[in-house]
Amino acid sequence: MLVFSGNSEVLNPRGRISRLDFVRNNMSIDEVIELNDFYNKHNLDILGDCIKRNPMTHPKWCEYEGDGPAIKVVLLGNSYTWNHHKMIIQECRHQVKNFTMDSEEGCEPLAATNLFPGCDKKLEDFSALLKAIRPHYAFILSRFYAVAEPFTNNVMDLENDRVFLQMRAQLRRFLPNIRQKLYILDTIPRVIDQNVQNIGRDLKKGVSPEEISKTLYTSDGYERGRLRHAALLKECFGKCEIIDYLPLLTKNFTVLPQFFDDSGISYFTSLGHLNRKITKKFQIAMSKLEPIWQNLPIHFKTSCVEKLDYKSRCSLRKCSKLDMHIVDISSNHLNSLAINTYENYSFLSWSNDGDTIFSVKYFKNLGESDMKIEFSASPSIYLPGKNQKSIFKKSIFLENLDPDSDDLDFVLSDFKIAQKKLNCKKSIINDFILKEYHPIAHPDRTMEFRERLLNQMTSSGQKNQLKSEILHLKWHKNPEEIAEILKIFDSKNLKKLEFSDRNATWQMAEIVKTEQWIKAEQLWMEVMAEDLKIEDFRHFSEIQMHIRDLEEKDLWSVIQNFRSKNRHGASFHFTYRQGEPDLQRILATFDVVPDDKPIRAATRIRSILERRINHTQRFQMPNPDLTLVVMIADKEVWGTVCHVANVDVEAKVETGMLR
Amino acid sequence: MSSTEQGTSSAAPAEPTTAPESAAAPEVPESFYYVHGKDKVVHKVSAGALQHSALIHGMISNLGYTEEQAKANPFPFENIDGDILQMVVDWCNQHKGKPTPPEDTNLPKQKEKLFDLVLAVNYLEIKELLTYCCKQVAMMVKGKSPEEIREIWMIPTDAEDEAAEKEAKKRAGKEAAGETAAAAGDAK
Repeated sequence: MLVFSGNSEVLNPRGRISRLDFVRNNMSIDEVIELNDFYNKHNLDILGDCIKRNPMTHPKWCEYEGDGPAIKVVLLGNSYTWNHHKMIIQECRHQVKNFTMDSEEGCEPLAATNLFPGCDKKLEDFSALLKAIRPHYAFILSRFYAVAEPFTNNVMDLENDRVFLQMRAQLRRFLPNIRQKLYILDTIPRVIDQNVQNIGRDLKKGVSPEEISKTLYTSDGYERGRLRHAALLKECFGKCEIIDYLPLLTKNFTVLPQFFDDSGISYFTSLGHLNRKITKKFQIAMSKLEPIWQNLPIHFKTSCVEKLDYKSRCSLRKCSKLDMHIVDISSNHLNSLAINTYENYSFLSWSNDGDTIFSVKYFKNLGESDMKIEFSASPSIYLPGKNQKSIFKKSIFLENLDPDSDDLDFVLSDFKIAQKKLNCKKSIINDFILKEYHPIAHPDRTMEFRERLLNQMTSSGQKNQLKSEILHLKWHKNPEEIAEILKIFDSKNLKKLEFSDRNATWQMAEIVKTEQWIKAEQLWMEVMAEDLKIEDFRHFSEIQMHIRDLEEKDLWSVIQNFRSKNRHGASFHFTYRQGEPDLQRILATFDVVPDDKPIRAATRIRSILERRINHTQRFQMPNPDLTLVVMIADKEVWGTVCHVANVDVEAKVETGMLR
Repeated sequence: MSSTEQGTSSAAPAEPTTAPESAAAPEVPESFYYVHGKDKVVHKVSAGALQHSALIHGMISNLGYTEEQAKANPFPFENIDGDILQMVVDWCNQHKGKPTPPEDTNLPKQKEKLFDLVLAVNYLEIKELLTYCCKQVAMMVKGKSPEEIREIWMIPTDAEDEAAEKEAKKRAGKEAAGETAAAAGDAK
């Protein structure tokens, strides 16, 4: 963003502050005449410290160094470029790193006139400059020749107008090389230059401003240039802006434009060029603070961040300290987040919407300063023949990293960033996944990973509880650690607990005491629980768990509990790992006559799954529209509260087989 | 339901023409208010349309203006460009008394205009329009790299920011020294 202060003041060589246009308050008419003469004398002064980097190939390219950040500015055009360059450089040198000027007598960047030989070739040179510099801002500052030429066949039909078509072609070459903005000085009427020197003197003689204006103006068709510029602006995709001096000249408009101000100070020189009096208006036109991201209200910015996908958030976070802060205080809506480590790499993955999984693999060993990062995306469900297994995969290499860090440091650091976002009270994480713990495959590494992850998650820096609907936890048996992890999650949001440690037996006493266990509604346990009592999981409306064995009276207690819940969709499923359900003894506990009424599976797969069931018993519910369907197989017992009319569809025969 | 005409000043707004009312005119005559932006162009807007703006709604809820009083006292929003205020007024009219749709594709694509609209809408407290703007602003950088985002939203790096701040301080110091020298010179 270029900001023109518009106050036109700089330090003069004696340390005094003066206006760039040298205008002072209450100037006498003699001082005005002197100033106009001064303007005429210094009509085409050029700043002296111009650097010519390509004197052989591009002798007119003239560079000036600013002392600002990496912003680059290009000024293109003819003598008007010279008229403006001092002011622009003086105004913006603290904001700009490099100014490059290319000015050619009589030639315009957008269209070539035949009045000056070589202007058609110069079009190429203007374009080459923009391509070489790729400026943030470009200014076209030209006295009109070609752009205000008569229309082709004297008809304003721009689609068939030679000049306009050339302007359009040039614009299309320019725009890709201009990063932010192209400013175009609009055409204004020319002055009859030999009379400029008389303005002040005539005023002194008492000639009226109207009479003086008559000596300065002749119809020159400048309006055609304005029409062409206006049409061109529509093809700029918002990248162009017009700088217009005409309102200044027509401020006192009666019949003719006035080329001088009320005190007689001319806007033009005796060569028909612009002087500092008028270019000061350029500063004012540019002085409006450009609306930029930094100036937007913070609550709006956080709302925008919340609408970004996770990768874009991470990109924005790297832009500046302020943006890092904005991202960190903005809610982070993820569908799932997972962290993991393997033998040779660590792994972080997330999904914004549940459809696509993004993952990052970090490959880095201790003692090395390079790291390979593999970024990939894949569908959450791969359907052979219907979608691609991988959407994309790309690798990048980072260098000069700390050799004392390994991939665990990086994955944990990135996970911590995700945690920071989860700290926000407004965070809603639908599916927070910690999974794939492999203690057998790489015991030392996974033990270290587990310890560091636990430390990080339970560190004192963790101010707010994580908000997640589901916690999938694959963790080696250590009830204290598991209880600690549970306590990190906000029990108000945590609806489902998923525990996975297939070959271990857990002591549940510490875990069932946590608020998170007590308030959760769904339980999925692929783990053997040593000391779990029926009372401990009576409150769950969906249960899917592995058990060593289950006494018939306990199963009956569960069935009665689900009947009393009287809730549509509630379900339980037990996988017997050691014992087997004894059908006759189970049926003997029922308070109804055993009656095997299998469901009629509507699909082939349900039909296959249903074949493993030995007995299907239906129980009446307090709500007559509902029924509890209990199914007993060789190693499983499950029940689903279904609508009476919809049992065949709603009974969860898939549970335990399909995940 | 509204129209726009060039006014001259906030004290003496131009007479706005009344847009043709729909064929099925409401039984109770609707009240209208007048607003203008930086360009002094006065917009006639119905109270129903202005309900979108929490700011204006709060201002007019207890006014009880007659048509003449409202016309003589347009709400001046000097901090809002005329074309931006026009956009806001058009949006309020378009969504008057209707549930807002999930998407609005008529927002400006040009960054500066969109950011100007955001500032205006935020000031006028038009929640739904701000949400649309927010989606559009977010879309500008979706999937972009940090470098691309910096370029699109014109975010200086921290190093650039610090350098600019340092330079500004240095410059202010120099100017202050110049002023002091000038004052000393004048005193002589």
